[in-house]
Amino acid sequence: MTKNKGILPWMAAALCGILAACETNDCPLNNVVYSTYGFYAVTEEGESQVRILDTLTVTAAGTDSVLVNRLVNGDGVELPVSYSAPTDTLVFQFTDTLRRKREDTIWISKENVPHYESPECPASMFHRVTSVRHTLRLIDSVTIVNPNIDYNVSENFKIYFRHNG
Amino acid sequence: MPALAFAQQAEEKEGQTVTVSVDTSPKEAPVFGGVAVTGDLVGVIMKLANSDYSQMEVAARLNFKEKYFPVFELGYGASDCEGAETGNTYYTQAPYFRIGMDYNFFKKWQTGNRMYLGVRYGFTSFKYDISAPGFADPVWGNEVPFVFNGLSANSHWGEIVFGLETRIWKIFHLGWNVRYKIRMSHSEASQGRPWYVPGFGKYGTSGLGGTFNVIFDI
Repeated sequence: MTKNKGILPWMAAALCGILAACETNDCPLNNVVYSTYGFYAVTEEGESQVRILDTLTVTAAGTDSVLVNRLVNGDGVELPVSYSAPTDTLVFQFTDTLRRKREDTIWISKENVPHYESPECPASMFHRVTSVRHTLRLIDSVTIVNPNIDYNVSENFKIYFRHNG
Repeated sequence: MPALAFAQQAEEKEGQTVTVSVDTSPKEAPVFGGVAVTGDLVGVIMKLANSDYSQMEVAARLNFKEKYFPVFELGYGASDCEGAETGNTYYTQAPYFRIGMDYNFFKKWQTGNRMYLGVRYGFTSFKYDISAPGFADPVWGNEVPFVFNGLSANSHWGEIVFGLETRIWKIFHLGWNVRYKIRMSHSEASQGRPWYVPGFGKYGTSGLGGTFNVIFDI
């Protein structure tokens, strides 16, 4: 028992080192994810991002929630996504300077994907967009840029507006 | 392993006695040096300390020429924890195994001390439960439950091992090693990823680990 006494303190130190695991939590500050919409128009020069001069209000159909309230001169919006519904119905209401109101509706169909990272991080719901359709009053088309709505913030949809809308 | 030993031999030479020393210790290690069984103390201490996870592990190791040590490690990993701030829970318990080999590059093999590098392949297949307090949808109003039980996953990984070991008494050794783990492939349920993977540790593409072993030559 005496021969290797000198090595025992090193072994004890190693045991302490092994036990002292680094505990770090990289939880997101906010566990709510948003879908991102950019506003575009197709001109003779090609596609370009545009600002909407009309006042824009966005509501979630079937609720009394106003998602965007009287946005002016915006070039895009970030909107929440329902946690469990298979389709979200979003109403975009445009009010011009003459107080004329026009509405378009966008239906976002999606899969809702629960997201769990660890006991220390809040759970959240991610989404995968499967299809989109819309009315055609001011909106010309909507394309899906990134179907995954999660913590990686990037543009999910491009909304193309009509020129003379 | 035979210890360093000297035998004394007396010779009778023309009426006088001459004493000479003969070194009888082997110069070369035997091809097969035996089998050792080991147990990991880190897992036991983590279990006693009520850690968020723990893994009990034993291993069997062969010894070829005091250099090559094929190893089979068998363990049982468990986690049952709840986030203090979130109320999220995670539960799993499952066996795992690793197979691999160590190479001892400590020259004085007669001392019973070893310094080695090794590699491992590890695998586990397990089920896990996750839950979180239901969260209310602030816009659409409904509350979404978040409880998923019996989710299936598996994991394959490799390890690079560095360790030291010393003989304490005859057949009894103590040793420790550190391991760098690299995930090779895995599967997980779409409802949520496993937080702790038995044998691998916390979920990720790589990780560090280690064991503190009691070792008996048999």
